[in-house]
Amino acid sequence: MDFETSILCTSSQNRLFSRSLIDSQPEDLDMWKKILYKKQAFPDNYVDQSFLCDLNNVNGESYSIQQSFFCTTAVTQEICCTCIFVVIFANLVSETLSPSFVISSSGLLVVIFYLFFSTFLDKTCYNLLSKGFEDLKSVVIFMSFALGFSSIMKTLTETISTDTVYAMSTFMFLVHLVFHDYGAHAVIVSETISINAAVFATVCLGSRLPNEIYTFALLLIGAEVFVLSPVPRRYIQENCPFGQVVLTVLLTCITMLLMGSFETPYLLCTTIVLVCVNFLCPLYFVYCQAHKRHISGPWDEAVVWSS
Amino acid sequence: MLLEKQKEYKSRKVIKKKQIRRHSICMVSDFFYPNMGGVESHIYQLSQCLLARGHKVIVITHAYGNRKGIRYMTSGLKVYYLPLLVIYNQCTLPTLFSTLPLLRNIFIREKVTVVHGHSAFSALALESVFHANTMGIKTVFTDHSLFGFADASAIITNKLLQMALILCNHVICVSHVGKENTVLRAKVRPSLVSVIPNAVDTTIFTPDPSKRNPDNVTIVVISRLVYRKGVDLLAGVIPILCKDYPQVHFLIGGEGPKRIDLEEVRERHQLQDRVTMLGAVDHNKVRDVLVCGDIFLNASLTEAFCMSIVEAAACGLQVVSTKVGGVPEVLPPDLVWLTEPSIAGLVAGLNQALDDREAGKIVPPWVAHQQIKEAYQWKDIASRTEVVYNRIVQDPVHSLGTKLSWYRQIGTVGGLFFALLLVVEHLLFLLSQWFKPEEDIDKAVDARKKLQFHRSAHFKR
Repeated sequence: MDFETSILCTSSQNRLFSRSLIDSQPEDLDMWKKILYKKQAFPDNYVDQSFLCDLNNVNGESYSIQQSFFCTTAVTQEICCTCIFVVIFANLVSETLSPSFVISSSGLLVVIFYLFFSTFLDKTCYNLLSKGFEDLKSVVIFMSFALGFSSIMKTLTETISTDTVYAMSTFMFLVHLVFHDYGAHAVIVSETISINAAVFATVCLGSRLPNEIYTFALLLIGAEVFVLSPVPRRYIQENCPFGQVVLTVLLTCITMLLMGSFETPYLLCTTIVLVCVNFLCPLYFVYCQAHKRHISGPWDEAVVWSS
Repeated sequence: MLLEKQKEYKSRKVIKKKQIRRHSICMVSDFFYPNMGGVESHIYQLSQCLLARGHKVIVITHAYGNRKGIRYMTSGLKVYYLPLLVIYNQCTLPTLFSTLPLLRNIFIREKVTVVHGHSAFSALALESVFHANTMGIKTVFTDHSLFGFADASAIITNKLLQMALILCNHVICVSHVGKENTVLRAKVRPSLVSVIPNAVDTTIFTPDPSKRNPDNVTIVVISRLVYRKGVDLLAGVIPILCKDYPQVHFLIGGEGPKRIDLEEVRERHQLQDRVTMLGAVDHNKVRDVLVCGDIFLNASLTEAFCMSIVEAAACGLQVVSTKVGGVPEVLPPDLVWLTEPSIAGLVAGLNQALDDREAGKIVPPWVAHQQIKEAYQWKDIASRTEVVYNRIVQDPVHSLGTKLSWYRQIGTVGGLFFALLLVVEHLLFLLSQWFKPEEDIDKAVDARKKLQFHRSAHFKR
């Protein structure tokens, strides 16, 4: 039933209904007018036929199920990236992964992606050489700083107990996931908070590693996963829907494999979260679209169009 | 003879009947004197008129700085300034239960029979309605503002309003659009909502055409200079109009964050001699500013009733206003030039108003004043409000079970939550009854009665 009709004609058992009927009897059969400057022969609580006729009950923009499925891929990717980062950390802690391997392989990946995007896709950047030089400069600065500070990072949170560090970084990863920019225009989205939370978590985890080179490797991976990787992923999401789906499936498979190599409960948890995010949430979202109403009427604030 | 006696007897009976219907009314709102605004003056004027009609009226608000405790205003209007925490824009912190003991005490002390809350922004008003209902006192709520539905603050406010208004015996709105808005927001039955507008004090707002400058046309704007009052539109309109009409001058009264925009426009177009900025205008000086003008301009983006255009019309000005909210209902078409809420719309409206002025197609100031005087009188508003009071005192007092069943209709989650609050409220009420029984609370002496008694004694002497 429509919203306004449900207000107007529900429930004969509603309180005071009989009373209001008596009040609403017009004494005069003159037409009622929607004015205040003249006394009319109607009681003050008279409800005219024209009541709520200016109401525009637009259903608003609704999203299709494909759209909402597609939009969740960004969330899935971010969750997968975070999981992969944590798995790399866990392997670094148990020293099953050497830091030199992590640094070299991730560095290679970054270089490939960089070259690919700047030559083929990013049409706006024509002066590849000077831009490349600028970027190389920032990379060198970042690397030297990270290397210099890794010994400080290593000892920064060393005195804090491992449980606290893990709890803190878990919380910070959650903050990162909540505030991350998934392409929605919401108040809660804040790239600054999101990146800061991820860096904070990385620094916290860095102190649990055996030595400075390990910490440096973790910092590097952190920067790549949380700062650099969203840029090409955003690009793919906006420009190449097929690539987005492929990338998401790929990332999901990698995450599952890595989690599976760990322990079954972790795999189970990841699966449940991913199923929720990818299937249940979009389905519920689309189901809720039916209840969406955009009510507008003369009471709305006028919008100023600045020229 | 006999017939006359019968008539006299009958009329005495009528008087007696009227005396029986003497209510003890408690107005509650966060907004009251020394704060100034539409709601504040509404409460004050309504209370004065109800006092004059023989009712007992008290006002409850929160403490304003040094103004705390009990104060008396004109005609013995008793005002309680309660020590409550103010958080934002003169609104008290909504705590729901913490005000119960204090308000219960006052309601019993003053033998209140009707609690009348004002303004949906006021947490104190909503809470008092909630508490009064628990105590079995009849409640009325006046909603003075319009709300949207889209943003988060509106959603929360609307839910809270719904929770309070479902318990209310009657709701009053200041315009028909306000009624539609309230019915949608709070889901009250439309027949339980009365439309009773604001009024103006027509003894103060009188025309004085001699104060006008005959050489030019003065356009007056008096409002808070904030976004919602359409200052951005005003800033766009001023240079266009000044260019088109060399005789037009602007007189702008009011203060606010958007003042800088207007000053910027004035400077950029070098209109210092034609646009006068008065800054904040005291409420008792508004009339003196209004009578200096020929046209009043209201550029509001949203407005439930708009007192200022009625005041301007009462002073005999032509009114040009944006067609938003309840504005189209307020003034008869020969007094107002309604426009679209845009710069082009306002310019077109002002052009029309100026052309009609040239052609002499305008209502003379005193005729306009007379029209407003007939339409908007506080006495009339008070008697219409009294009708509402008379009706609701006959309403039955509902049991907790009935009220819970109303809440169940609101919704699954919200309704259940509110039902829980209602149950807690009732338990707290029982606790406060046990802690401080009704007999232990002092009953206040009606100071007005005493005053009258003293006066008569004085005269006798």
